[in-house]
Amino acid sequence: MSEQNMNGCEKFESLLEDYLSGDLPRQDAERLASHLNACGDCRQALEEARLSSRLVGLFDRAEEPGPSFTRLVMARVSAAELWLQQQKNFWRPLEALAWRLAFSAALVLVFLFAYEIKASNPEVVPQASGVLVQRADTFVTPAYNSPTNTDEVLMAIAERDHERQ
Amino acid sequence: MDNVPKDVAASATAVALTSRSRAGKADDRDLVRQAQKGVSAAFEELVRRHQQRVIAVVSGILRRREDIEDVAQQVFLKAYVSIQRFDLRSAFSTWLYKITVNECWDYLRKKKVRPLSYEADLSEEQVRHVEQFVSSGADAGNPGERAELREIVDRLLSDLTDEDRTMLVLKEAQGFAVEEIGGMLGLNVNTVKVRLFRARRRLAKNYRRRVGHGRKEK
Ligand SMILES: [Zn+2]
Repeated sequence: MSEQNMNGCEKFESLLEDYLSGDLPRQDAERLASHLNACGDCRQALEEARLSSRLVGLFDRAEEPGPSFTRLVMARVSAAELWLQQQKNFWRPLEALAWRLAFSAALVLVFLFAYEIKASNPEVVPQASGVLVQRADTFVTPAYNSPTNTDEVLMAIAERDHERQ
Repeated sequence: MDNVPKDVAASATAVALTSRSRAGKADDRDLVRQAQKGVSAAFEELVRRHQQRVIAVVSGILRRREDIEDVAQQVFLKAYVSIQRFDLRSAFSTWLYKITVNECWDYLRKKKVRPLSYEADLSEEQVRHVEQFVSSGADAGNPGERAELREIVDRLLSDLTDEDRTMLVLKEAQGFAVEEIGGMLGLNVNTVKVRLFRARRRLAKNYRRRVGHGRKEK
C-alpha cells in the first residue's frame, strides 16, 4: 500500500487528517504548522488530500428513508417468522420419524458391533456408546454466527427458537 | 387488535417504551433488552431510530440508488435474527453498523458490482469536465453535471480497497465521525485517520494519473 517513503512524516498523517476535518487540537496546530513550513512533502500531501475532499464532496448525503421503511422491515421480520413456523409444522412429523429411524439404526449398529466384538474376542469391552454418539452427531445443527443470505437468516431464526424452547 | 394477551402486554410495553423515549429515557440498551425478550415493538423502535444512519452507510458504500433500501432492510432482518447474541458490550449502533458494512461488502462481492470499470479510459470530455471543476473551485453546477462528475469520481475510487473507499466516503460524504468508522471496521481511531489520509492521497494520485495525464508533471 504505502508505495512512497515519507521520511519520518508518518506521524503527521493523523494530524493532517485532523486538520482537514477541522478537529486539530490547538496544542498540535503549532507543531503541524512549523512542520509544514519546513516540509514540502507534507505540503504536497495536504494539497492532494484537499483535492480528494473536493472530489468526494460531490457525493450527496443519503436521502431520508422512504415513509414505509420501518413497516417494510417489520413485514420482512414477520414473513421470516411465519415461513419458519410453516416449515416447522411441515417437518415436525418427518422429524420425529427421522429420529425414530436414526435411533433404530443406531441400536441395530450397537447390537451388530457388540456381537462382532464378542464373536471375535470375548475379552474386549464393546465401545457401543461411542457408536451412539457418532450417530447422534449427524443431527446436531451447526451454529450460525453471521448469516449471509436469506436461507441462513431463516436457519438462524430456527436455531434461536430452538434455544428459547 | 388480537385476542392473545401476550401480544397486548407486548404492545403495552412498546407504548411505554415509545413514550419514555420521547421523554428521552428509554435508551437503546433498554430497547435491545426488550427486543431480546421478543417484544417486536421494541425492535421496531430501534429500526425507527437507526434507519437513517444505516441507509447513510449503505448508500455510502453501494452508491447505487436502486438497491439501497433493499439492502438496508436486509440489515435489519439480520439484526433481528442475531439480537440474542448481542452482548451489549458496545453501543447498539456500533454493532448494527458492523452488520451493515459486512452486508454491503457481501452484496458487492456477490453481485460483482463494479459497473464502472477502471480499465476504461475517461473520455476527453470527461477529463475536461472534471479538470474544469477542480481548477475553478466553484460549485459543480446543475444536477446533471454533478451526476456526471460523481460518475468520474466513482471510477477514480474504484481501485481503492473496499475498506479504504468505505472510510473515505462515509467520512467525507456521509459525515460519520472517525470514532464511528473505527467501531464499524474494528480499527482504532488513529489507524482510521492515517488510512483515511492515505486513501485521500491515493484518490488524488488516480486523479493525476487519469485526468492529469498528458499534462506536464511539475
Ligand atoms: Zn513532512
